[in-house]
Amino acid sequence: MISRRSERTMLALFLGPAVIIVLIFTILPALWAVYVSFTNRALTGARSVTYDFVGLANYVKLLSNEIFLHSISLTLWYTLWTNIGQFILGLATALFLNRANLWGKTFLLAAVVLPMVIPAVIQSLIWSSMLAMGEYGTLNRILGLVGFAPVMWLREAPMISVTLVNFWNNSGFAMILFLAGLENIPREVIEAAHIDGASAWQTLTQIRLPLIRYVIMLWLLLNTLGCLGVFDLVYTLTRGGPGNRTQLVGIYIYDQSFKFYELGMGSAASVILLFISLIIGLIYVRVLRVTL
Amino acid sequence: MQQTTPAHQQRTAAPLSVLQKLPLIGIYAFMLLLCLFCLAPFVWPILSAFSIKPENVSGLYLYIPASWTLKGFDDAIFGRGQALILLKNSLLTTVGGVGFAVIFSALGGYTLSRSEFRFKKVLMYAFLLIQIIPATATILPFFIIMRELHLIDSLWGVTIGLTAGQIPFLLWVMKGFFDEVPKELEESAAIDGATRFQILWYVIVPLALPGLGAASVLAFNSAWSAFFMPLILLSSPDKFLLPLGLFRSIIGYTNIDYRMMNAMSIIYLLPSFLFFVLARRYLVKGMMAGAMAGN
Repeated sequence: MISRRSERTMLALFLGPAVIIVLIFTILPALWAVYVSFTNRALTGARSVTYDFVGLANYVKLLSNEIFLHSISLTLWYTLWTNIGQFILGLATALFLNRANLWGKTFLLAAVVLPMVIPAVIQSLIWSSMLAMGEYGTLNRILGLVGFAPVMWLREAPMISVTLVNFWNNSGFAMILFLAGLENIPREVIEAAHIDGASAWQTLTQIRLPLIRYVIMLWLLLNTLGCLGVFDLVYTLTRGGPGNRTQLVGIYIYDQSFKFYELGMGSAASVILLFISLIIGLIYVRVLRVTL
Repeated sequence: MQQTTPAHQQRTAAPLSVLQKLPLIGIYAFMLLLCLFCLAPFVWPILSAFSIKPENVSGLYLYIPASWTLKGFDDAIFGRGQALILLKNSLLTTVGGVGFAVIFSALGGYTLSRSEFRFKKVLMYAFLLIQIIPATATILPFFIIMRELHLIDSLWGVTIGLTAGQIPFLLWVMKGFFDEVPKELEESAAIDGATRFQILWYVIVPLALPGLGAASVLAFNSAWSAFFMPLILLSSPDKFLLPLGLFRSIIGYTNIDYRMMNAMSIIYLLPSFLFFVLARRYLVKGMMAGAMAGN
């Protein structure tokens, strides 16, 4: 039989590599960010070698910096409208699809999932044509059919453009989760409500929504985390521009660190994002009630 | 979907008045619009990649092709697109990164499934949290560590980054698969004198293989799409991965050859598309199961 000692060796040998890699390349960076955020270290030059502790100075500077506050407000705007819009779209779709024998349902679900597996760079390339300005841009042509004047999407409404592309690739997440939740509700429950004379609205607000509130909560937390940390899609589509009109927090961190080489400021912004994400993440783990 | 009760079937089978039919028409109209919204954006890249555009039209716009050609693919692969180098770099790092991640996670997942130790819970929760924390928050110090280790502008650096990125997810999934393999099997193998590693390799892995395969495919697709980490690590064009090469071409050229770009995108998308066809059911089911977990 296997002895206790060899059991321990096996444990270390088997689990060791995975833990060490994640420790070095994920957990250590997070701790390092906290440390560097209290210094005035730069990515290159003299201040990358000799740097001083500046206490909370980076945070004070950051929280009184208009550009950073602007990026925070953009991120909140993006998160808010993504959540509200995709909740409504996801719930409506799930409610529509939650009936038996609906023709084409499998196909629709496939169509909705397809944009989710497309890499961000390609999403941006595809949508640069959809959102192209002038009267020949595809979206402008479609809107022209109903009488709208052409819009310079990426210049005049960059945040709306980014949010729209996110709707395209990410709405399926809400739809599928909500649909799964609705299909899990026993039919008898809804039928009993009908027999008792409940209206469709009452069934929705007093039976269906409360029964899938757990799914909605999980979706809300994951979606919020995704929005707060968004980088790939926005950067490939607008690179934070025009000006800094789509400079969300993720882009701000990138610009501060890799364009202006201000590690202290970049780290302070990272730590703020990390802190908020951790709180939401802990709520998520708590709600998920995982059993180990 | 198939579990319709007889009562329900009766209701849908009953003749509907025009008024009752209206909402159904509305639902189908909604579904059609949603389908168009999801699929319409794909028309331009496909048309653009395979066609010669009419004169006096920018390649950025959707147009009716003048004629069809494979020149875009020719330019992408043998011309200035250099798709072969990009493809080689992408395949090396992704297959390598996910390969390491699968091996380490399989070993680690087995330990997490079979033994009890003091910090196991903390570890599991930490791996769960890491999965959902945005990479944006830790990318900067990640870059500094990679620089200290001289892994900047190196395909090894990207490979390790991809490995680290996929381990938390894979570890959780693998532990779940191993939990479902009955313990009795390995006990009898142990009595026959097999070592732990032999047990894992010959008894457990074959049983958990379908799950392991599905998880690896998921991890591969996620790593294949990676953009941010390669963006900050790589600077030499001959080390670029496909997404980075594509991105640099989009922002680099003053006169963008959209046909070539779209041909390259299609090459880049092939694995994603294959993944979509193979794993679509699993994707939807997986997401649904995720939502139900612990419910």
